[in-house]
Amino acid sequence: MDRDLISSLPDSVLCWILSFLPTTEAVATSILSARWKILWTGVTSLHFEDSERLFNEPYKESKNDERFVKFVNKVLLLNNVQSLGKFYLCWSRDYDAFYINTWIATAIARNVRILDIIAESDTVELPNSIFTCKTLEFLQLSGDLLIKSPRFVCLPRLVTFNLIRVDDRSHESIGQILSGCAVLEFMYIEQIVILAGPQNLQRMAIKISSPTLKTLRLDFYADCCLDEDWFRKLEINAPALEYLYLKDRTTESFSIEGLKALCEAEIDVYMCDPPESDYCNSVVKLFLALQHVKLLTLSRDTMRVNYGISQNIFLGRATAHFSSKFDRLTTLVVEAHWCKRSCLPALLESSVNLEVLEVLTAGWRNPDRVPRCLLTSLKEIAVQGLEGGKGELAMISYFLKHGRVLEVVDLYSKVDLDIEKKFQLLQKISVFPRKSDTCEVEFH
Amino acid sequence: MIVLNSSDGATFEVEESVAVQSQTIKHMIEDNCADTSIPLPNVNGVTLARVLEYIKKHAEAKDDEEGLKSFDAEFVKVDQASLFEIILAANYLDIKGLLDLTCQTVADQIKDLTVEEVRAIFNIMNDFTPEEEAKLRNDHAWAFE
Repeated sequence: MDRDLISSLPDSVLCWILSFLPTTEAVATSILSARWKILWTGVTSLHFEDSERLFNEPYKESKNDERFVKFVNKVLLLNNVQSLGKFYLCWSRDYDAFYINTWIATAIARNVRILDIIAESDTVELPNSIFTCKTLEFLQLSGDLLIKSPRFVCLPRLVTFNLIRVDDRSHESIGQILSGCAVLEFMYIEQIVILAGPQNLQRMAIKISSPTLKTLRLDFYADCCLDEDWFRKLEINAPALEYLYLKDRTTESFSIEGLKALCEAEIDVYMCDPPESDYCNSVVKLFLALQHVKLLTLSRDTMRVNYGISQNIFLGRATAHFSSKFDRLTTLVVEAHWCKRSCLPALLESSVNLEVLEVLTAGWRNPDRVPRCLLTSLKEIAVQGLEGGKGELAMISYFLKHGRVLEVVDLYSKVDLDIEKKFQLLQKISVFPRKSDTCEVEFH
Repeated sequence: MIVLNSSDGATFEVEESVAVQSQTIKHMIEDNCADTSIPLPNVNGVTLARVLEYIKKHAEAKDDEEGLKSFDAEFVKVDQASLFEIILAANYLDIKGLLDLTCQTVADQIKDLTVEEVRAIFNIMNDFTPEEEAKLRNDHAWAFE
């Protein structure tokens, strides 16, 4: 006869197992047998999601909403754990904000470490007690939430702070919240900026200032075209930052300083109709802030920016600003927009220690003088999306001709390029003169 | 090197740097209780061998995320009785990663099943009267829909 082994595990272990289940399932174990009746009250992880039961139900009035409220209330009353590990709450119907606030406040009173809240209904303002929670290590807020931080913020253990599509009035509070974080390392903000018409003229500044922040990911995109008067500013001051991911279509002005520890950056910025050359200047300033980076990835649109309305002025400035500025850069990945006046040559000139270059398509003009990296450090080049265009060939020919220490050039044609064209490309490139004897050209 | 003695007299040698993944062993070493060998009366030889397999792998392949993931997935493919033995050992030896892995495995076995199905898998005998069970189902109606 098979024995019931599981029930002989100690209480603490069974509670730990139940902590990995959504709370509804943990509670359901209460009827397995008398042994299991109250085990669930010791789970350290609470996971409430009203769509578990309401997903397919058409919206009725209070009847269904009450069941979820009753359940959460009951669980919170009966759960006797003093130190909650994780509290996850996701709701999609309109509950009285009083309940939402009480539930969150309860989690905080139980010394929660991980708080993950997703609101998919009417905007709810969060309780202030979140901002003075001494045990909180991970805070993730998503959806229709309004965050208004109180003047006094104290989050001594907070390491990760994520804001995902929250009410954009919350951004005013970011600076204040960060000032109360002594050990913050990871931050992620995702935001859709929605314009509600001329009456919504906002001059918003997002200020991110943290002496401990190591990883910052920002994802800002506009839901519709921006109004002329709309102005948005991004300020970053993070001397310990090692990794920056910035995707942005809405910021007009960048003010970024002190990124001395930066190792890796991925930049994708663009504005479709920016006001004159101010935007280009701002992007140049952004580049200046990245000068210590070792690995830099620039999107296609970012490369397009550099050719805004005042091309010549920008180009003049670009070369001056870029000279010898990226001396720690060893790997550069660019999606270069095909355009005669690509800034890729300027970038190469200033990346004097570049070792690896990856280019997706190419805009090319021969630089005024051979970039130093080609002569001394550039060992690997990869070119993606080849079609056989003049610019591409000019660029590859230039690299091969001047790359003194080149070891390998990997060429990837565009996926749908037919065999004939590929072959022609191969033939043409194989006969380009090569400066480096050890250079291998590989077609993929 | 640290010497570990299982409940049934088997002896195992393991590097101290690896053994301290167990907080229990770590504290014993710190408290100088580990002169000759460490007795582990709560863990039998077979289970201790498996636990050591886990901590050795996790010590040597620390940075290989992919590799560890597939190792862990294979590691828990054992029968129920063995899995519970490992859970008890991980609990006694206080090895967080192993305890999380094994408990998550059991939780995954419970997840999405009905109460009757869970009882069947683990041979749990229902000792409630029908009335008691009905009352419990009613008390937490949301959990039983």
